Amino acid sequence: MKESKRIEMLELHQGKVSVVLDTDTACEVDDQFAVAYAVRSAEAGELVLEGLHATQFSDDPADGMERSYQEIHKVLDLMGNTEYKNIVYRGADRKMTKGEPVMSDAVNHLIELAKDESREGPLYVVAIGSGTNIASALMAAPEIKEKIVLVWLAGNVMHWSNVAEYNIGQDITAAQYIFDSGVPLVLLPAYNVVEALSTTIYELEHFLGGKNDLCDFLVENVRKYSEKDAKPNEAWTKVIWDIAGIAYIVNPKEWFISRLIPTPILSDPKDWEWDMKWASDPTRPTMRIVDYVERSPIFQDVFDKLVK
Amino acid sequence: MTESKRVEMLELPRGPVSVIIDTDPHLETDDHYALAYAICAAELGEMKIEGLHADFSGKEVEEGMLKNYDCVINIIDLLNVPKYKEITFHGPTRKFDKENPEVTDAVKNMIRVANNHTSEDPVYVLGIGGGTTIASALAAAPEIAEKMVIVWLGGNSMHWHSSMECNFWRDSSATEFIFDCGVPLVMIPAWNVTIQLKTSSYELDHYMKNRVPEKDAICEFLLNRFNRGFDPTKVAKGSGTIYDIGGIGYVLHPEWYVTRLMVTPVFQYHWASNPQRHMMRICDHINRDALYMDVFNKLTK
Repeated sequence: MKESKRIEMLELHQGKVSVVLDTDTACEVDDQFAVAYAVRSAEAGELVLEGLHATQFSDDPADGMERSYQEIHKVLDLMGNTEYKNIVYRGADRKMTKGEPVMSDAVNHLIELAKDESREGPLYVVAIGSGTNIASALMAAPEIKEKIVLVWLAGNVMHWSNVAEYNIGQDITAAQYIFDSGVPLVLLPAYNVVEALSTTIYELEHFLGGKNDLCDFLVENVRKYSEKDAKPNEAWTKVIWDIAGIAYIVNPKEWFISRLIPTPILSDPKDWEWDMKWASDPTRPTMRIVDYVERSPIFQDVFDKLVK
Repeated sequence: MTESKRVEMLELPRGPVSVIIDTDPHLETDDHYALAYAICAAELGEMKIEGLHADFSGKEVEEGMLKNYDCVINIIDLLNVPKYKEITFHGPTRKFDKENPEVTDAVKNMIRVANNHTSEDPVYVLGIGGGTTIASALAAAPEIAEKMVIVWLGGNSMHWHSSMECNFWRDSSATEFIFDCGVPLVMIPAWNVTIQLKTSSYELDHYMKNRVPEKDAICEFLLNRFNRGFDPTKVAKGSGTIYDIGGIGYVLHPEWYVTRLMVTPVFQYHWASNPQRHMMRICDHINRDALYMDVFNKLTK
């Protein structure tokens, strides 16, 4: 792909675009917000939702993926949405090994969607979990990188001491493949950036409590999570990380500050399991990195849509 | 100062340490929280406050400084700790002039306090406003650079598109002087570091509603201050960032801070670099949840 073509694809889009959401929905309590936010944004005519893909996580990847698949359906059921049940697909049931894609229904669906010539403009793949499905699709059908823009919630800012971030840690091989692939990539780093999307049970209760079955489920999930995650000496907050990806689709210009940089190299782990480092080669293909997300308008949009 | 001496002084503080707080509360909400938090910490013996200095804010330097001074006195009154009035000092009536620094009461106090300290036991100047008083003291008495560490909340991370932020730009010649003079400096940037110290009316209400009676006055004041413009239907009108507590927490619990040493950048609108400059410490991240719990505990117990 020519660099000019890649940068053109990385321009901040205007108007409605097509989206696949790739999610480890059963992991933590934020993906459910993102799935619901994507569906409501599609219902509001702000994006075209073409796929809801479950991806693997945890030490039992097949189980993590299957639970995620079921969780997507659960969110759709709570929303009373039947329209999108037929675009929910199972993804990878294991982590990637070097040189070999993990094929699945989700990967086949992603490749098929990407190759659809009837669509104007690229397909936006919003990945809020591990990179296994996306790396597998890119490996199995490298030509699709000219058809997709990957918006991935992954890694940390470039000056961080390591890249020990959950989504990358779930499949380091897949992540390295993605950073080396040249696919147009918008990176939403965790620390310093997406972590601005933190909230509390008190704020969630105020805006979502008692509004509908979906909202009650989302708040209750966070409350249950707090019971095992909160430490007594901390004023516990929960970052709803995963809404960032859909928010970028809805309003990339006003809610995000981003810039183009040469795609970094993701090193192998050094001293411990997830001790990967960002390495630089200034001649690598360009990607977009997000430096800042505007918390208030994003949560406002999420809350407004979820209570409907 | 040798580089090794500077880096030694930039080691993480081992408390309880002595501090001077330089603050501009009048137009802000966060300074009030930071001042109350600091005084409560001092009352518990977790640090020793040797000066509360009013910086200026707004267009009129002297008028803004006097309003800031009154705000400090107000916090002292609400906490009913009058002894701190004796160490509350007026700051600048004009902006920094390197050739002719204004020797205000705050500047005199900073020089006096610093001269009672050593490089092994420096006074930490917690800057949660502009740099006028700090730069003026350093220009008037350069030797104090070896007796104090500046912990300054301001500016933006090095990869940010500019250094534009009010603490660093209100008196930019003072900021330039502080970055050039070699005083040990810990920089805690606004974007994307203290900007993460977000909270909401809902969280504050939850943690501050139960308190000892002696803290009623301060908690009511702080809650009202935060809730100005509150609108329960708008996320933006029920949430905010209390940046300045980030400047206090560093000397109390440096383990909550992710920091590193770096070569001091050249301060201008776009950060510039000169790899031969002296070292400073920069903060990359703060443990928000731990810091806030400490703030809530100190404000309510």
